[in-house]
Amino acid sequence: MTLPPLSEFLRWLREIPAPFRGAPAGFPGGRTQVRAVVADLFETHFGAAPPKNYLEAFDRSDPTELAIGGRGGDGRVELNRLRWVLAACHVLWHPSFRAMPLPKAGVQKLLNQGLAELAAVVPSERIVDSEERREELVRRVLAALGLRLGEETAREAEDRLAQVNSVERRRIELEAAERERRAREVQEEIRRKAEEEAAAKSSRE
Amino acid sequence: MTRNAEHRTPNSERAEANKPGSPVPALPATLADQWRATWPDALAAWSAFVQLRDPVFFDSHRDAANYGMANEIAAIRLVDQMVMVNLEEVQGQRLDELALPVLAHEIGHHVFVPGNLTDNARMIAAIRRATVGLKKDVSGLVANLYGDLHINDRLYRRDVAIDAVYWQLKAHQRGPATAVWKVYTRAYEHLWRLPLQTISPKDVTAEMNSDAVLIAKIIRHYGGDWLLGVRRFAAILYPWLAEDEKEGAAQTFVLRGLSDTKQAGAASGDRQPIPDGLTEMDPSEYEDDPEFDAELDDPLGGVEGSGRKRGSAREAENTAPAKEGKGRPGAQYRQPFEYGELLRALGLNLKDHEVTTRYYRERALPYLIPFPARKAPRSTEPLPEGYEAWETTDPMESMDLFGSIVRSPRVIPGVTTVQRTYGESPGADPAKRPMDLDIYVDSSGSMPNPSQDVSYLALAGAILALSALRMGAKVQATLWSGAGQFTKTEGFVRDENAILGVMTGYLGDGTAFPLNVLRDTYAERKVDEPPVHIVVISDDGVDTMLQSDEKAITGEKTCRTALEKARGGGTLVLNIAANWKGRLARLEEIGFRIHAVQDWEELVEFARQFVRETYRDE
Repeated sequence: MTLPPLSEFLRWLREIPAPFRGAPAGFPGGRTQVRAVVADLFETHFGAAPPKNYLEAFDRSDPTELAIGGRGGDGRVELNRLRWVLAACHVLWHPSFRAMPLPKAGVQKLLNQGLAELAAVVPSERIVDSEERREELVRRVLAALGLRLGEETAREAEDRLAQVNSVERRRIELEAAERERRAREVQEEIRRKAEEEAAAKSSRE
Repeated sequence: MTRNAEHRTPNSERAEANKPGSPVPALPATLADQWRATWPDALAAWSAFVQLRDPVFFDSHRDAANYGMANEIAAIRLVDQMVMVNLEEVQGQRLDELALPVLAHEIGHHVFVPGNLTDNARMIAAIRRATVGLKKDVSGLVANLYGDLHINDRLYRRDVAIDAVYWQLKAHQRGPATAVWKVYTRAYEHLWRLPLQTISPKDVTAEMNSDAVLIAKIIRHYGGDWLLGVRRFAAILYPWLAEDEKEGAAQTFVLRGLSDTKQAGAASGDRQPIPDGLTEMDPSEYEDDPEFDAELDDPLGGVEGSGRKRGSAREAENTAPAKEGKGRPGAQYRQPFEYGELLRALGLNLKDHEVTTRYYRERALPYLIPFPARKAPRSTEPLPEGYEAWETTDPMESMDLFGSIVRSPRVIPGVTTVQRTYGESPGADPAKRPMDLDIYVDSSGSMPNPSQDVSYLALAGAILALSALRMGAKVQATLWSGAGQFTKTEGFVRDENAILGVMTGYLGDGTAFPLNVLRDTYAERKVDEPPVHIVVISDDGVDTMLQSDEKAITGEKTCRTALEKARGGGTLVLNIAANWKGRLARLEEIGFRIHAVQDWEELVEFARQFVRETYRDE
């Protein structure tokens, strides 16, 4: 089955229902039970809910017990991670995905591990106000499922994900900031030498 | 394009070059034909919809030199999208069989990076800010390297054998490689996952390698919005550029004939288009996405519970034009000298006054306002009177096709074609009569030089003059300094270049208002000519208007006569202290309205408000 164009997934994500955007249960004002959403998703796609120990990763509990790549201990990160999970569930609920068999392992890994690094650097609110972040989530889901959009080649899909990848961008920004500091040091050295040479020249004259 | 097209060269001397005894023997036509036959495939490497005129092939360095292409492999001009290939250099570097990647690469400069002169300028401007302390021409090199990386990576991902070009360059290495070349070629190896030293020299240090890895990431990540990555790219290359500069080493990239955007701004003949919008700095030149930068320290700053509350949805930028020009609040502008340097870095060969005129015209445009128009008793309506010949230089819409066919059924443009002529009959509606503008701009030593720093006198003058021209009025511009030192237009004219050329000049000497110009301008002014508003932009040196002229006529008399005959009033816009009343009261009594500013920047606001305040109810 051919997947719909990217614009359809972006529209689907833009119209994400309020419960999927709100705070998960366990956080102030939170009502949405993320584990229930995940369980429901698995039942829809795979006919049965995932094991209990897998679902525990979607409860708010002691962050250190969560499998979020060692980034536990920060309530904001945990809140953000669960919101990204809800958004990813909404993407996976798209009719085109429900009409095709999905790789269970891919879905499990995406929800449990794949979104943790993204949640550590991008607030989930960006799903609402940034089309690029919506595209990033859609492409992360597609990559996890081993699927590609319409006429895209594997390289095109890979390139586009690289371009919208917030985690990669953050790494680049941090490294580039260090290089900019280095450039400023060299620049300062050049300026200092030029001043010294100018001073030496004027004293000779 | 036809594959069997005759082998052409742009140089009419080709026939001469083919003569026996010619110093440079012509190459076999087959190479140019072979490359030309590849052109459609090179276009298709980007898209089936890309259309560009056929490339131009030079047989020899001598031919190529006329186009600045001696010792270059290939290049593109962004002004007329002309791709040029130097076949002698192609053969010299053993690239004969690589027509597709070389041509596709040049097309990439047209369709991808930089795409057009404006974006090329923005890229160079961003690089110039990041390469302070290095030679100025380094910005063009860095822009070329950055663009080439993006283009080549995109082509490689589309299975064009662009890597083969670099294999060949390495196989026929010429002398030691520079540090920049080492980092640059190593970046390709990381981008394309090639074994190390496939195309890079052997002595790439660990630090160079680390920078090459980061460059590869930048190229891949910013492929969709390449301008955002350019400043970082320049920062990474900075120490290597400095090292090469310190060693006095000529850049390998340049020596290998790869400077293919050096001629990007060149144009045929006198046509030298200047891209619009370059007086204003693009945010990408001096900052990044501010929200993303804020996230560097606290990426989740916007999440509930954090101390920092990020805004919700970003407000969409209002791009609708304002009813009246107000400029762009918060926009940052280059200084005129920076603007000139940028245009020259683009390869544009412009005279200083062209640059300055262009600068103030562009700065003035956002502020343009309707110039006041006075009501004349009655307007006229067109009355068809007959036909006259329609020449090919006349506007197409004025040709009367029916009348032309009546005259001759066989229509020959410029020979049998006619257009209607119209007389005038009195109409019922009042007509608006634009008021001419007589503007005097002080250019004494206390004023800034408009070609170096922003001169708000010149800018305000440009806003007023362009508004007047827009409404169909005429303008007389006079730039003045010491006694007898002035330049002016030839009376009231509608020549925008002439007017701006005068107002953006610089005299920079003493201060003596040109009373003789004011006197002579209105001595012969007829009553049936449109009214004129006199504007003088100056500082406290304006009191020289009250001195006597060379004919011993008092300034007061000259001013009174001028205002009387001008019939449109007069305004003195002066940068003076707040307590000006006493010293300049005489000029106010004569009839000039005095508008005092304490900061030259206020002149722009004055220019915008000027017309509405004075003539709103007329």
